[in-house]
Amino acid sequence: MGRLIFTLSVLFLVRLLPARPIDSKAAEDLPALQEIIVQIQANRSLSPAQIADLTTKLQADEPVIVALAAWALSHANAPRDQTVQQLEKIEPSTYGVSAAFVKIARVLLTEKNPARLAARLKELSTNENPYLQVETAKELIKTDSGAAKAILEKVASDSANPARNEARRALKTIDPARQVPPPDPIEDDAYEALLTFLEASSSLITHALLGEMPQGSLPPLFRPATARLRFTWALAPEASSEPIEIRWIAGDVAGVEKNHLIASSKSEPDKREGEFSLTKPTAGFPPGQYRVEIWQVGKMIYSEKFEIKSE
Amino acid sequence: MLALAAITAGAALCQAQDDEYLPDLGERTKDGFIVRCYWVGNFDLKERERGQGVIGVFGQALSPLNYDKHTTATFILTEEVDNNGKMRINVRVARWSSNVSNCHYWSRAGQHPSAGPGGTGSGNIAPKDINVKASEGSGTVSIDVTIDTTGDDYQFDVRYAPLEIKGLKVQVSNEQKTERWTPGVLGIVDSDEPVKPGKKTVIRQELGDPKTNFYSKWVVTRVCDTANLHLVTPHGDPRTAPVDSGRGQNEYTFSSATPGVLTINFEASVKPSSSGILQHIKDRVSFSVEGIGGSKVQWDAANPNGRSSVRGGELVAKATFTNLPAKIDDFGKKKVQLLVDGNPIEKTNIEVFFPRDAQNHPGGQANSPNWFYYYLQTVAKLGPKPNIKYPATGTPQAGHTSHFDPGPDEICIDDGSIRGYTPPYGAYGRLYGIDNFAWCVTHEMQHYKDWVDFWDVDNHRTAKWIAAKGKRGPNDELDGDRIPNRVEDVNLNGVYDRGDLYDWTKYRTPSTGLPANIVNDFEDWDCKRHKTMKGDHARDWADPGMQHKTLDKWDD
Repeated sequence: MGRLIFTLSVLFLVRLLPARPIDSKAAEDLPALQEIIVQIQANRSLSPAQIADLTTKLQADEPVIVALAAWALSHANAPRDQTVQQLEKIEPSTYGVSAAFVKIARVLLTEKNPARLAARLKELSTNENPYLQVETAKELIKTDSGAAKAILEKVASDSANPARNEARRALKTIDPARQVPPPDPIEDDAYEALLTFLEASSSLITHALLGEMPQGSLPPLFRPATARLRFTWALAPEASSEPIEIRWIAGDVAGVEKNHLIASSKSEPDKREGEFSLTKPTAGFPPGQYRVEIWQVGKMIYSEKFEIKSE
Repeated sequence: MLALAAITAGAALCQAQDDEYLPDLGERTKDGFIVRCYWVGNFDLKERERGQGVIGVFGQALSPLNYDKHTTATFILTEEVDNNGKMRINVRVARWSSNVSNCHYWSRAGQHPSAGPGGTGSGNIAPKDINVKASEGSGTVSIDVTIDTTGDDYQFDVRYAPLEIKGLKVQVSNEQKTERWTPGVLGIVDSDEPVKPGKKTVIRQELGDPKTNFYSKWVVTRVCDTANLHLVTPHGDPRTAPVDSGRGQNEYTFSSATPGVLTINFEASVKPSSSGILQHIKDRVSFSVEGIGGSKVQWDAANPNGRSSVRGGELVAKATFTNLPAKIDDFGKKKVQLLVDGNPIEKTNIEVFFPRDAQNHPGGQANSPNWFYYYLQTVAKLGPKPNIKYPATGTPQAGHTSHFDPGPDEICIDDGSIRGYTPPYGAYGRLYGIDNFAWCVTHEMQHYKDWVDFWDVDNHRTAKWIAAKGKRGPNDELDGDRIPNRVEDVNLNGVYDRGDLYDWTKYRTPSTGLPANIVNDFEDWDCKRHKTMKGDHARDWADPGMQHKTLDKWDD
């Protein structure tokens, strides 16, 4: 449920928020992280390698990476005790936005009783960390919306609080009719960067990857004889209506260089839903690992791996 | 350097001449004395006797004997000290030599008839005939040498022909006579001759004039062993061989307590290091250290004004500085000296640091870490009055993350600004410590300055920008990227073309190689203007920091 609330809240992000440039080196990790977040949001389990990678990322210097890794670990199938131990270990070196997400992750992983969870979240919301205040309030919306609203209103009205924009957006999720001020320009805040990034992961409200076979359209796993691969999509209501682009990529296929771009195509301007497809070569799809990437305004907003397996 | 023997003033003297064996400086004699100094004296006397003939009382022409006399003397003394600080002077060599030549007469008529060969003598000066007293005051030395060469042992034969009278004439006798002459070696007395540490002392004394008939000169040189009092702590070059604790320490960091305290334990080695010698010299040996800005220095009660005290076989002192200085440039290199009688005999440098992550700096924002307070002094300010804050009021976990917020018109700089960060377009790759700090602060200040320049943020916060956003006038801001239309569309032709800064219609103008972590044109422009920004390592006095331990390494 926590995951759902988080997803809903980020849907209302406004894309105009600039953010501090994320560490250039850390930015290289973002596509893989984004893939993981999409996987979690689609209720798919993470592999042990992905969990190990996320655990390593808790040690990163970039607070956005640490925060995203903490969020992902606390919302996925990571081993609880081990993950909590890692979070406890790195917590003293965290600050600002990374501290907020690490603290919340610890509570989410250690407390399953809804009442006790709510109590602990309320306790966290009294912390001076402004991001923690807003993120705990967002988590509380489902169990104690009154308390959540009170926290968010306080932050939203504080013109010096760097989390005020997100507090206003979260208030709007509680009460869609509510009028909130437009976002204030806050330059270089890691929280804004984090939320912008998560927003991208949530731009597609629906999507499906299917393979056309004589017996009908089937989900992965696909066979070489699959006549056509189809990717259907629809943008979330608040997402940008800039065209989206699909990239069909042969990740690891014999006889082809790794990560070879097979084909790409763009949606028509202002179109908010549609379908992309990739037709079978004459000899059939070579068996191997593939993926689709969906891009919008220079940013990957979705990625999905799939396999073509020999008959 | 200090000669131990020389500073044990008033010690007993003795004189001896022991077969001219000359020990090395620092060598121990059979009876347990250490040779600390050499005294070498050279005497030179020139007499020229000249007299022309005159009419005697009976009308005879008379003339005195004319001759040249050249006398030299040499002594070599050792100044020695035993384990109890008792000093003595030992005469190792003492010799004399004299020569009388050019014997002649000078007649009234101006003739110079020869008067014979003269004579030569030489030999040792017996210990009983040379008496030496030496003492040292505060930075001075005195010597009193008396030499008696009037005794029979020093007489030598001088042969010459006397004048004889024949009738009314005076003539040079055909028969030479022999007389016993003495060399005429003089003594030397000199008081309070300045002693320069580490240098030889030369005493020069003259009588008469080289242009006249009498001229004598003493040149006495005192050379001392200079290797017996040395700084042990602090010691060495903190840049090439940093030592952070214990013996030989040369890097010092204030404590993290409030107020911060920095302790320097001075140590000097003394050889020989017997208790007697140490007690003799301790009051004349002191340590000094250069001040550290407004930090107050306090010497231990046993070490007033840095005067040494004895601990084991060493001379020691302890100085404590309390309160960190207000300016970062007051940390760093400080001169330390070892002094004898107030004169420096050895110098070294130490380096003084602040504890980077503690919060005990004077003034500034309460509870902000020292790196924030001091590093901020090293970065050139941009804009009229940037309001830069450390965003955590309690722990870093409670704080904000770095940003510039034109609403409250403030820049926040978080703990990440001294960790690793690779900026977009950065010329130096990954930045750490003060390098990253300088980049982050400059980057945020550039945002502030741009806001000031474009939207008058000091007076209007975000109001002007909000009013301009989405509009197409030159001073408006169509694409919401914070840069006014006229600044992006330089030629104001409404098209993104050659010479334009950015596409005035696009929040993030696409371009080849545009880093994925650049979110809009405002960020891109800021980053591009500070590609080569990094910190001033020469002003990084944080522990850990670029000058602590390993040079240019941020985290040790």
